[in-house]
Amino acid sequence: MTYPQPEVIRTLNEQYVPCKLESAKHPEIARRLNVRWLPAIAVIDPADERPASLSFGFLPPQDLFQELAFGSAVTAMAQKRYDDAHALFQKVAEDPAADRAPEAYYWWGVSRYRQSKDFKASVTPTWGKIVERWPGSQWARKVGFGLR
Amino acid sequence: MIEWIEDDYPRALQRARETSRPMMLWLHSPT
Repeated sequence: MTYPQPEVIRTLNEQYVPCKLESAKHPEIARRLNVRWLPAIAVIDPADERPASLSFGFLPPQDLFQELAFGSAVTAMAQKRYDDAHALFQKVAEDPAADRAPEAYYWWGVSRYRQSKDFKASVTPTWGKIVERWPGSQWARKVGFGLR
Repeated sequence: MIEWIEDDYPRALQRARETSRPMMLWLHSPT
């Protein structure tokens, strides 16, 4: 893989621990992550080794940034660093080019609920955005139950 | 250049825990 862009290099080196594995040499890790195509890009929570995000195929830099931000958001939520999680979910959710945007709104609501324990107040603002912006999507149908 | 830890998952995991950073794992086919 080659990412010559300085922004990618700086982000990976400063905010992550980049690890490159040849899948065939690490079948147990590939199996645990449910990897069925290569390359696979995962953000791993170091606390429990769970994959916070998983993507298959090459990603251009902007898509890679969104994937990394989403994975970091899930990791922050799992570690109960809710302010960090919400900022990262917001970054992905409000990026008009991010394919993960509705998913980020969904998890942003979940993260707000985990912090506050107030379900309606937590999910209504973020899940409402899903219905507003992607009304015909599976995400909108999914959150429709929670918003009733 | 990207400072990859190559083919050493335990070391990458230890480094991630020491630095409290997520690991960005890239699984690839033989090159």
